[in-house]
Amino acid sequence: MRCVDVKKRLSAYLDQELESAPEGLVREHLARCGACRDDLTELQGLDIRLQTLPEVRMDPEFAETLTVRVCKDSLAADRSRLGRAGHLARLTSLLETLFDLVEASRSPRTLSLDEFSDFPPLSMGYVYCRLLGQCRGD
Amino acid sequence: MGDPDIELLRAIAGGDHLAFKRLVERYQSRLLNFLYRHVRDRQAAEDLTQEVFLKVYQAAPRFEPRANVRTWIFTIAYNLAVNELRRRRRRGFFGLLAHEDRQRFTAEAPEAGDRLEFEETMTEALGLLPDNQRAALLLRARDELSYQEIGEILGVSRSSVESLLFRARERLRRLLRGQEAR
Repeated sequence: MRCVDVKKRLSAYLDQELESAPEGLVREHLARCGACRDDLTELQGLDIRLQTLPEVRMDPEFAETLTVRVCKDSLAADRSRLGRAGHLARLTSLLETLFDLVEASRSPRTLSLDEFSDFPPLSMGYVYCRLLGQCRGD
Repeated sequence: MGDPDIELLRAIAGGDHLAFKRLVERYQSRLLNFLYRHVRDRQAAEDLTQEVFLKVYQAAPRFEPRANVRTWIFTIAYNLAVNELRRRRRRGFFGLLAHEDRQRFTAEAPEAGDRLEFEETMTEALGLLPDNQRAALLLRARDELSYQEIGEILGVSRSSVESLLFRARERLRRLLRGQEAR
């Protein structure tokens, strides 16, 4: 393997990411080529410089603060979901009632209004039936 | 025993906030440093770190357990960093923020002159690399991720990662030697 080919592979060689065949060839070349060994040393130095860059320290309260925020957000979302669910349940119940009324009027088994017309005189029901002309005795 | 990160994500998906806190504690420092080396602004890096975790929390129920949690989290971080850099380049105040950050750091640690100069030189050189080369180099040298994992994060093949790292190291070497105009 020539120096120019080795140089292209030194980065992956350093990372131990070369397949075994080319890795062996690079190792053999490095054993006899000082210039390529210097290149490898320089690359290793570069990595060390990157690894020893000062760490930026996270605020010690970060995890706690973020978790509390997420907790609050999810509670708010739950409330909103429950709120939506409540409205939906009320709407569904209203619609069901409406459908029951419509369906009942169409059903042959539904009792007609005059069967319920035995209201006491002058009660609201009596007045209602009178208006409809279906109270008993009419 | 399974991957502890996957167990944590499952718990998070089930609404376990303590599991979320544990995941944050596991990754916060690595993510903050990874993001800081991209945006070179402490506050922005912290905001982005927070954004990463909020996205993780929201997406936890949809996480595919066959995937690698670490690469998934770093993918979110990388995408956010690239978006932030694009936004800043459009606005054109990247250099100003970096300068302000440097001034603050100098005021906090005036005795650390050499260390600061070394960090500044390296940070500046890293800033001159294309986003994907910088990310590949940081993920390899600092976070010790494999080429396979880096490829998953950057959305490229393993051989492309090899090429990215080769070019990143070559360019960084030239920049630090002062052979390339900054």
